[in-house]
Amino acid sequence: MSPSSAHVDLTKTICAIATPPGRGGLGIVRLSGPDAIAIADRIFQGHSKLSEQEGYTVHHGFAVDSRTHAEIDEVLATLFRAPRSYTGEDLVEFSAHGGQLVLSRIVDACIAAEAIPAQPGEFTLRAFLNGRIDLTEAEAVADLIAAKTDESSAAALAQLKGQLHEEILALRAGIIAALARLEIGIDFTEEDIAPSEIAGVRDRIQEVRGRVLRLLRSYDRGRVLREGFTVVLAGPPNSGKSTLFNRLAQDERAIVTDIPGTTRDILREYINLNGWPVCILDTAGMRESADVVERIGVERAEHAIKEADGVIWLIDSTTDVTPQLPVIDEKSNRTPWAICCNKSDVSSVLSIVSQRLTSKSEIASEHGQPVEHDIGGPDTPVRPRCDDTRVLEISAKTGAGIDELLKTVSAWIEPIGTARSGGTFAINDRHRRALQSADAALASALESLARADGVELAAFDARNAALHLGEIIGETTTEDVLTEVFKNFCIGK
Amino acid sequence: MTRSPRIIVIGGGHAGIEAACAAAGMGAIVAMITQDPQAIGRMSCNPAIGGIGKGQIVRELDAMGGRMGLLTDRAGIQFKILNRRKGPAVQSSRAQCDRRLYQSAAQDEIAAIANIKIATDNVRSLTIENNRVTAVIGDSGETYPADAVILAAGTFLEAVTHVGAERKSEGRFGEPPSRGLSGQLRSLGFEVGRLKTGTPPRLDGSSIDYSLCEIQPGDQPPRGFSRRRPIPIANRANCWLTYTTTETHQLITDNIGRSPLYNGQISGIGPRYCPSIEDKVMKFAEKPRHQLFLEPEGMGTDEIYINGFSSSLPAEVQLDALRTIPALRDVKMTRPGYAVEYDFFPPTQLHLTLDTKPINRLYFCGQINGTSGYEEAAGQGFVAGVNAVLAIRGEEPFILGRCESYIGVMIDDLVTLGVDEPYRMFTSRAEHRLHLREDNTERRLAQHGFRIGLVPANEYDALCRRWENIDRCIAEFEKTAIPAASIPFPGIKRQGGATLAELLRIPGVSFDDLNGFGAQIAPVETLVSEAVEIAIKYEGYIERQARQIEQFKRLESQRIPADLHYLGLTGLRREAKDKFTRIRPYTLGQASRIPGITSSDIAVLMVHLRTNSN
Ligand SMILES: Cc1cc2nc3c(=O)[nH]c(=O)nc-3n(C[C@H](O)[C@H](O)[C@H](O)COP(=O)(O)OP(=O)(O)OC[C@H]3O[C@@H](n4cnc5c(N)ncnc54)[C@H](O)[C@@H]3O)c2cc1C
Ligand SMILES: Nc1nc2c(ncn2[C@@H]2O[C@H](COP(=O)(O)OP(=O)(O)O)[C@@H](O)[C@H]2O)c(=O)[nH]1
Ligand SMILES: [Mg+2]
Repeated sequence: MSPSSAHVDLTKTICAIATPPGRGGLGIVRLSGPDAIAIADRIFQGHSKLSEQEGYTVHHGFAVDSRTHAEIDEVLATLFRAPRSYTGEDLVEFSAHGGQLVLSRIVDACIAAEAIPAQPGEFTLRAFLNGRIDLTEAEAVADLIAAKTDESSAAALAQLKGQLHEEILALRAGIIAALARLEIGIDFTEEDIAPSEIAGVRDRIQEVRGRVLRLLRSYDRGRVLREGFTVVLAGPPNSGKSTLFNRLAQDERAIVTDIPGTTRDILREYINLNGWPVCILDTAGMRESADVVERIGVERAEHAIKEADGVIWLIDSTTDVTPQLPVIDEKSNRTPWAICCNKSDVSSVLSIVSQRLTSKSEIASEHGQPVEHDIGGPDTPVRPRCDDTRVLEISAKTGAGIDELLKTVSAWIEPIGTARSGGTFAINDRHRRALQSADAALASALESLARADGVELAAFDARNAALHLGEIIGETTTEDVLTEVFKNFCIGK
Repeated sequence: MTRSPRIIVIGGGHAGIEAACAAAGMGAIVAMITQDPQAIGRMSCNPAIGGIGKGQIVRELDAMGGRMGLLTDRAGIQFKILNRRKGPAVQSSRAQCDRRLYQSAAQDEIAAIANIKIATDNVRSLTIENNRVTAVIGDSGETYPADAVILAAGTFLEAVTHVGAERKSEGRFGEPPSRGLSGQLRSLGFEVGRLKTGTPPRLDGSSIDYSLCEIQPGDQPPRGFSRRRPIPIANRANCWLTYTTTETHQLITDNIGRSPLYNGQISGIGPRYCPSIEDKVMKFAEKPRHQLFLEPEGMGTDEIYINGFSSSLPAEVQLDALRTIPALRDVKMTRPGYAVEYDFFPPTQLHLTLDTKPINRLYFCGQINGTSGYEEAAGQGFVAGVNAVLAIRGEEPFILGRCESYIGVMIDDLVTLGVDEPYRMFTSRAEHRLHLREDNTERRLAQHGFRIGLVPANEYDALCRRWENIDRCIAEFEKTAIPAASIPFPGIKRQGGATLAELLRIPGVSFDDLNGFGAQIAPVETLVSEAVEIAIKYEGYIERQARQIEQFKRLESQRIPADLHYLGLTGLRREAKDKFTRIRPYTLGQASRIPGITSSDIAVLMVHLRTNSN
């Protein structure tokens, strides 16, 4: 159920944990609605009542459960008064240090004091309903909260300030000007449009289209900033994927065992690589298995490889390498690969693997000369041509070669980082689809303008292009857009 | 059995005629009250019907059982389709008419309808009981009781005409105005505004040098408006094109202080897109010349209407200015141009049915709603007439959608946006323009006319049979293959040849060309071949438009309860509450078009509607 189709009762006060789960340190519980301050006072014990304080003030005190009078934790309460708050309503935020459990207890206490639990995305929906933000801003807030690193926050902030909004407005204005010229020619015989003027209209549309395409290119950058650059750890069972995963994530999340095929689902962790969020995925081993659960894991791993921005393929240097070499569908993707001969602390197979790969598959050698060959028989798909494939030697256990591996991954991200054409635009998936539709409409308009009887067809296309751009900034909000935007929101935002 | 509804139509202009005929056609007893029965159907301005965006309205009326198309076919002396070089969605029919013939055709039509009675009177006031109109009172002293009243008073309310400094209380040249009515309505809570419009001088054709003009012949063969009841038509006259000169512009500039438009004598707002010659010269100073069309007023007369020269300058200045045009060097003016200022009611005071919000069963249509043009008036008249009957019968209202008709676009625009200058139809007002074509008018709308009883079953059946033929023909074209050897286009010469539909999609290939490729196509009527050609040639665009319409309908189909109490809705901005309360939108779609309403307002409204309905 999406919030826009749910019951949103603005007379009620809602509450939820506002920080993503699983992160240590400071967490926030947010209360918003007409009774936010009164409810906050019921669970907050400080020097003075919050209801007597002004907005934009912070107060130290303790959260207590009003039913038992038991102290929950030491908190800071930040007070915002309507309409000058994120939601446009009275709003109180409790910051606490005690982790998930403490935050949940504060929420419980609020609910006991007559708040209701927020639905997913409801804070943002309320902000939107109260006219606090437009759609792009709403999405930017979501991105802001989801952003995993400093750089992401910068890009999300830039969008919040309306750079994207301004660019879209400018593009729309360009289209509307072209459209107006066409419409006048249609509706007033005396103003019929001359072929020479058609050329002017075409130039104008072409110019807008160029800028739309540039925005689309910045999508990749935006996506990486938001979702992280996804690197999949793959390879045969026991090659050391989970060990490497733990080393990269620097904690003990994946179960490391000696039994092949223990990691049955995909684990993910974000790491910060030179300011870029990198999402590392640990997969189940890639091998034929009779175990149903494990087979599902293998399928997921294959899928993850397909979707990945980069792949780290591990080889267990302590056993025969031949069956461990990667086999990839040629059509699959142009993602960069790193082939890691793991367990270098025990034995070294680097030269064998390098040689096998360059002689058995179609990858770039040290000198960039691709050599064509099959890996496992005539029908086996081969590695696609890819300049980025590197063969490394590492030890997940001792950490040897890990720096080199991280450098390789950084090199993969670099081109995206420098593709800053046209400013910093955080383009999300919805924006991208709208821009793609606008682009298609503009392309169609250019085609129609070349037709003798195509003026009104071109006008139709141009109008649609303007509508698609308008969708991005919420100017022509259809129910679809609303539902779509808010359905991606997690609780507490 | 309940008695027939009694409906009063005030006014015998283009709005009044359609309103009366529609209501009578649905079984109402109609009294048409007008100041002068001889003036019923009079064309106040130029003797032409149709034009870009307007031709579509006339065709729509015809498809639903309206009269304007029939009358134009009877009175037309030159028929022409405008925008011929552009695509079918923006081509519009236009007909030059014999002014007297049009008037008599209209009067004959009304006279032939037994349940329309004509009363000669000047309505002075309305009788209101419990917020509902129950009767009207004329200058004669007579009281006319009614179940519903349709006001179609045109440019007559508190009207003043201007020719230079000369000012007269007139609704139209030589006709008395209507006094008191708008004052009473104001006291009943109506907002009243002031607009102006103008008309050009009339010329004596025998004093024009046509050798200095470009001839503008009609189409061959001519195309009439009515598809339901086509009659033989012919082009019997030509129009002519000439231009103003720099000398003309100089003369007008020198005398601009004598124009009531420029010296403050006229305060009403005139149309921007149909400007007076004074406006054209002053506001578009960079243009070296302006087009002027010389149009015959009729067959038995030499009088010429000079389209594009609307003016309220003193008569002698008008004449001097005309004589700076080479073809008009010795022209005689039979009547000077003039401007008229009149009261109108900002149309946001109306429901989409054209029922007024302050008073029940009182309908407004035509020029009094801030529109300009015969076609716009007629379209509203029809909708008002139909809705008056439906309301009395307690049936569902008749509301045409923006995605199905120009009339729907117009009324939605008027009611939702209001007007700040006289409203005239343009094709660009219709966001679903590619669907709102003249060729598919009947397919879009005839079922409405049939359902409300204004399109007889035999006419509707004939239309249905034609649609079947069109569909059959399209299906056949999609599957009939032509061997590669018979196809003269190298690009399309692929193995197995091409289907007829594929060939028809090639730019420049017409339906008739297909026979040249060795296809055996059974002869069909032009209306069928045309429709097939358009459906196939523009298939991609038509489909895309259709998808948009589907999407549009989703908000459009969400009705808002008429009695929704907006002030009590939490989360709605004050401004939005006020606007919704004032407009009382019929659907979420309409609500979203109210100026100043934001997407968040609609979201709130949507949330409340869902919450309430659960
Ligand atoms: C000077 C002038 C210039 C115009 N120029 C243009 C133009 O450039 N372009 C354009 O598109 N359109 C123009 N028009 C507008 C066009 O003529 C009108 O839009 C159209 O005729 C309106 O139709 P209607 O039915 O609303 O009103 P009208 O055709 O004006 O008819 C009104 C009817 O109501 C009757 N009536 C009024 N008051 C009463 C009463 N109290 N009691 C009884 N009967 C009453 C009148 O006798 C008349 O029959 C012009 C009109 C005028 C007068
Ligand atoms: N000596 C050595 N052992 C390793 C290294 N990396 C992983 N292992 C061991 O290999 C076994 C399988 O590791 P695991 O990470 O579970 O492999 P996975 O199945 O690919 O996830 C474990 O016993 C690890 O301790 C390494 O670099 N050196
Ligand atoms: Mg594992």
